[in-house]
Amino acid sequence: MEYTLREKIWNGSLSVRIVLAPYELAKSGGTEELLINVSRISYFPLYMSRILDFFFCQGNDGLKINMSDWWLEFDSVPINWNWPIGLSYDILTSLDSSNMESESESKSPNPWTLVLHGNDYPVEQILTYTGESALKSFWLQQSKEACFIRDGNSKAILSLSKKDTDTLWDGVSQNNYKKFWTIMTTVLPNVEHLKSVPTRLYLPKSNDVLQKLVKVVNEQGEFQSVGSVLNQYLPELFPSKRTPLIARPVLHGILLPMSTPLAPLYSFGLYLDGFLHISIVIIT
Amino acid sequence: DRKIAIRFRPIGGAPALVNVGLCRISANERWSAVIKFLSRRLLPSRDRNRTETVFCYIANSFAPSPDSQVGNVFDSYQIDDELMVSYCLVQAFG
Repeated sequence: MEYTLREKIWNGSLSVRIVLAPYELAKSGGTEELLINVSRISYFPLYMSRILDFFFCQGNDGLKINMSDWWLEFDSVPINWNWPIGLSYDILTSLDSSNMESESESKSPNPWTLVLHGNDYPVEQILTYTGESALKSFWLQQSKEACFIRDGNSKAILSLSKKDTDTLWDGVSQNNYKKFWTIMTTVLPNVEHLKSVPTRLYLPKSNDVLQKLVKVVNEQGEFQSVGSVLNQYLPELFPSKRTPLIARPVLHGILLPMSTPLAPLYSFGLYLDGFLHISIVIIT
Repeated sequence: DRKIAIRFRPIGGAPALVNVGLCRISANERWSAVIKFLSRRLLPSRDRNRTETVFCYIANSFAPSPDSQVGNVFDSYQIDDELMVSYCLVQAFG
């Protein structure tokens, strides 16, 4: 079961409409927008050279493009390049999937329209970007952190050979399921051997993220449910363990049932950096 | 505003901090504030604006992202109400 779910999550994609900021139009020779399909679990920097090529390299050979100047914006909010694309979408569009069935058209923006900027990089709000090596190094540190949370140390990642670490990164940067999961399965402990579940909770309409060492089992020795974790750490948003009253948890664009056992969910629902990134969406 | 306690430890030949015992920092700060704090004390002023000149590690294993919240790092990795942070001037642990 895990394998098909891992593949399904891997294949999740978003349709994105990239609109060039008006002040950049002269440079692009009038090219205004690009429609592109992106992988939910991937990162925007991995698409950036393709995006910039599209706008600026059609018969414009002399133009010098500095990758670190460029950033994307949704609704006046700069997109974190170091967040998985699907996470940014889930938290910024506050998708309440429960509305989908009752309405013929879902409220979630499709395509997702983002503005591409080449000026005034918002250094106070998002990390500076120095090229693909910055993404690789960020991803590797996060992977080691997630490993530390799972095992109590980062040895499983640190002791990978250089070749295996490179294959794992190739899986990320080339969006290659087989490369990534061939190595990742050797690194991940069985669910029952997890020390804690690497989990981050993203709060709506704020920059707040909550990270705790989330226990695998409860006092009865059963796997903790998503609902009990939310009730423990965000009691105001989740006054009940069983029923979502004020907010709902969303992972990979999917509404999570409160009863979902967290640790088994982790084994297939983790992102490429080894974390479960759960968006909290207010019920509308 | 919650304050958390950090103890710094030099590794890889980095100089020890002078007159700094236990450090207190607001839990709402970003981890970049911790890196900045160390840079101010360890680097000559001309190097301060270079990126990645001080490396901070938890448990000698991983570097928290500069945009993580200090409170989250503390809650996950503190021992006896103190967060131990190793630092060096060259990258260690990959």
